[in-house]
Amino acid sequence: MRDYRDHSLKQIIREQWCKPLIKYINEKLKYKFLYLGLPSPEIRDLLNWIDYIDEVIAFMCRQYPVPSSISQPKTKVIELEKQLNALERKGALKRFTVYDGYIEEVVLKGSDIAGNPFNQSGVVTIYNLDFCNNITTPLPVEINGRTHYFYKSETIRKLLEIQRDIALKEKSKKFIMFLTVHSDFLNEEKKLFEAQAKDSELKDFISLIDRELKDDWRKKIKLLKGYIFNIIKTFFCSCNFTPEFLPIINYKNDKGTWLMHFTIIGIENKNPSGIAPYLQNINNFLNQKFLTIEDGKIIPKTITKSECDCISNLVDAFQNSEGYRQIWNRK
Amino acid sequence: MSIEITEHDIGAEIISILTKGMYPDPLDALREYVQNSVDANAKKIDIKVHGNSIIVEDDGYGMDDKIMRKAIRVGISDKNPKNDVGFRGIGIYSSFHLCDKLSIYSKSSNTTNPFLLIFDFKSMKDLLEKQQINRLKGISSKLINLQSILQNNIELENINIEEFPKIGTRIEIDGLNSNFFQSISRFEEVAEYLRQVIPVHFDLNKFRWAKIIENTITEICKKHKAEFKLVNLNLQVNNRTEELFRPYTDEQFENMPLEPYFKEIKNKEYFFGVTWGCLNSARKKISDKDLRGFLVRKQGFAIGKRSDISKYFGRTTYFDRYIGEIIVVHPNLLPNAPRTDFEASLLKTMFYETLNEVAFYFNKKADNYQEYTKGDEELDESIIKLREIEGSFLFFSENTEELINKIIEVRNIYEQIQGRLKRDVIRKGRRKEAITIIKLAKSLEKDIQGLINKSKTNRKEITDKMPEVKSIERLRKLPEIRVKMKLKEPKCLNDIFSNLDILITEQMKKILNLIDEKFLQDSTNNKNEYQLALRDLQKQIEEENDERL
Repeated sequence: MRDYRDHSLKQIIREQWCKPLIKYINEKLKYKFLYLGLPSPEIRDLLNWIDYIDEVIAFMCRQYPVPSSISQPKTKVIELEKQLNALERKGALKRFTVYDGYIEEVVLKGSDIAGNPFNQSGVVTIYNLDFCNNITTPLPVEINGRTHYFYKSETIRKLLEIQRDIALKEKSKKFIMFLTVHSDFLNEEKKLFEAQAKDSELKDFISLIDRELKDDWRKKIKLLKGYIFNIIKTFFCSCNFTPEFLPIINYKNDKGTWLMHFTIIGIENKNPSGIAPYLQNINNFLNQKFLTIEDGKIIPKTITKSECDCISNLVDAFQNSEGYRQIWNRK
Repeated sequence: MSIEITEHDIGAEIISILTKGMYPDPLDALREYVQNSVDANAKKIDIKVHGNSIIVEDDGYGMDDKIMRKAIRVGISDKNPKNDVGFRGIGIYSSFHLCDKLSIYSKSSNTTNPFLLIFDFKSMKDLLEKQQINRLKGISSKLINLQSILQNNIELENINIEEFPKIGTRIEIDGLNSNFFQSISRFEEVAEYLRQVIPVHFDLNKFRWAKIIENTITEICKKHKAEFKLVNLNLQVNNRTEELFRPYTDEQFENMPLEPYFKEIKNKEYFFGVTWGCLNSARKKISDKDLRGFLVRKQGFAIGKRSDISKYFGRTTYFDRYIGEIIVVHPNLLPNAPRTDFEASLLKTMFYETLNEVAFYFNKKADNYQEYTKGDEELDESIIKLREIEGSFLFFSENTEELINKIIEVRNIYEQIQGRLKRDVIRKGRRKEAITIIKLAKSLEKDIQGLINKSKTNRKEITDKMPEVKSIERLRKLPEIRVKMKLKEPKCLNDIFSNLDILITEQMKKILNLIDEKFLQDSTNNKNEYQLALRDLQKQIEEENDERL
C-alpha cells in the first residue's frame, strides 16, 4: 500500500474546503472543539485548524503499514507527542492524548499497544479520519491473542456508538466528520454491495451506473460513493445522529492514487425508535457531481450526463442542506 | 592546620546519592515539583502524564533568569522555610535518577520573555556510569566533580514569548525510566497519592462539610495571621483527566459524617494550627482504613501517616471513628526531608504536647456523642416500652404477679433515665423529654400499684374502677421517638462483635458459633427470646468495652 497521506492537494482541502466550515461552525457553537483523528507527526491539519480546537485525541501507528508491535520503534509516536506538547505549552491546546497504534486497533480493541485504554473525554466535534488503506477490505485485529477481521468502517460505527453514549445535558451533539478513503473497490466487494443494496434508491443508482458507464474506474468511484453513503448513513442513524452528506471531492494525489474526501455533518436527533431520521434526498446526493481539484481550486467535475450540480463552497452547501434547515438551528 | 577545599572535593555522584535516597518513589519526586508550585503561590496546577513524560504546569509567580539561575544551586535555597514547604534546594533534582531530561519553562510578571532551563540528566548519568565502570576496571581517571558536571549539562536560555506566553512555570520531565513510568501511568495510584499529600480543595459535591471546613480553617488561620493554602489540581494520565480533591466523601461514613469539630492547636505562646475532625455518626470505625483518624499536614502537605498520631489518642477506638486533619501553619515547625515528621526542635516537643490536648478534646467529643446517642436510644426504648405497658397492663388487671412485673419494668425505665440525668449524659435538647418520661412512668407505676392494691382488697371493684386509669392521657403526653440510627440488631453471637467493631479471628468466630448453638440458643425458648438475649448481650459488651476506653 502506498502512503498517500500528505501532499499539496490535501493542504488545499484543509485550507479551502474544511477550514471555512470549521470556522463557521465554531462561530455558531461558540466553543472550541475536540478533535479526533490521525494528524501524523507533521500535524498539518491541526496547525491549519488550531484556532478552533483546544483538545486532541490522536492515533499514531509505529510502522505503517506493518501491523503494530511493541518491538517497533516508537519514534513517530514520540514525535507526535512532542508536537502536541509544544502546542499545549504555547497555550494553543488545553489537552491532548496520543494513542499508540492504528485507529482501528485502538478503537475496536479498546486499548492501544502500550495498554492505555481508549477513552473519549467528551463529545468529538471534528473527526478527521484519514484512512490509509481500503475501507472495503477487512483488517486483522488482535484481541486477547486471537485475530479478528474487521472492516475499517466498523471503527466508524464504534466511534459513533461512543459519541452517542457520552452524557451531555445542556447541548445537543453536533459534529463534522471528514473521511478520506481510497477510490478503490474490488470486484468481489462490488458484487456484495450490489447484492445488499436493497434500498430501491440504491438499486436505481446501481442500475443507472450500469447503464451509463462501462466497467472502469469511473464506475468504481460512483459505486464506492454509494457504498460508503449506505454504511455511514446506517451507522449515523442507528446512533441517533442525522447525517448530512456534503459534496464529495474526488482527486488523484501526486502518487497517482484516486482518493475520495467525504464531509458529513452529524446532528443528534433523538428518536423514540432509537433511529434518527434521514432528511437528505438520497437520489439528489447519489447523482450529485463530484468535486475535484484543478489549478489549486476546488471545482465540480462531470462523469455522466445525468449528474446534478453541486455547490463547491462547503459553508454554502451546509447552509443549503436539509439538516441545517430542519434541525441544526432547532437545538 | 586548615585544609583547602576545592571543587574537586565534592564528587558529582553526590546528586545521585542524594536524590536516590530522598526520592526513591517517583511520586515523591512529583510531589517536590508540585510543592514548588504551591510555594510559588499557584492557585491552579496541572499534572499531565503522557507515555514516558510528565508535565507539571502552574499559574504561580513564575521565575525570571536570576531566580532560575539560583534554582540550579544544590542544597542552597532562597526560599523562606517559614513560608515555603520546599526550602532545601534539592527538590529541582528530585527527578535526576528517574528521567533523561528536565526542562523548566517559566515566565514572571517582571520580564518580557520567558526562560528555559534544561537539565540533561541522561548525559550526567552516562558520565557517572562511565566513571564507575572505569573505577571497577581499575582505570584511573580524573573524578568528575559536581561543579563541572552541572556546568556542562545545564543550560539556561531566553526564549521567544510564543514558546511559553503565560505567567507561571511548566516543568517537563522527559524520558522517564521504564521502571518508573509503569507506576506513574496508573491513574488511581497517582491520584490517591496526590489527594493525600497535596493541599487540594475539599470536594464540595461529595463531602457535605467541605465548605465549612475550608472556611473555618481559613478564618482561624487569618485570626492568627497565618495562611491556609489550597490549590486546584488537575491530573491527566494518558487519556483520563480529573480534578482532584481531598479524599473525603460522605460515603466513607456510615449513615453520614457528623458536623466537624475544630480545635485550635495552641499553647500560651504559640499558635500551631487547627485540627478538624468529623465523627462517624454510627458508633463504628471509618471503613476505609487509609482514612481513619487524623493526618498531620504542613501547609497542606502530608507529614507522616495517620497511624503515627493515634498514640496521642490513647486507644484507637475513638481515633478510628474520625476522619480529620491536623493542619500545621506555624512557620518555624519545619518538616524533615522525607516528610515523615517535623525536624527535632523544642517547638516540635511543644507541638506534640499540645496535641495531647487536641486528642483529649476529640476523645471527649466522641465520648459525649457516644453517651448522648446511647441516651437517645434509651429514651426511645423507654417510650416504646411505656407504650407497650400502657397498652397491655389492663389485660393483666387480675394477675397480680404480672402487674408486679410491669411495675419493675416501669421502675427500671425511670431509674435508668434518672441515672442518666444525674450523670448529665442526656443531650440538652432531650432533657425535658426525659423528665416527662420519668413523670409519666411514675404516674403509670402509681396506676398499676393502684390495681394491685385493689386486687388485694376487692377483686370485683377493680373492673369498675378501671376507667380511672390515665392511659390515654399519658400516651398523648409521651414524646415522639427521635433516633433513627442505632446499632444494628444482632442476628447471631458473631454479629455482636462485628457490630461493635471488635476484631476476632476466624478461629474465634468458629468457637463463638459453637457457644451460640450449644448454650445461647439452647437457653432460650423461641426466636424472640433469643434475639432479646442477643440484644442484652450486645449492650453489656458495648458498656464493658466503653468502660475500658
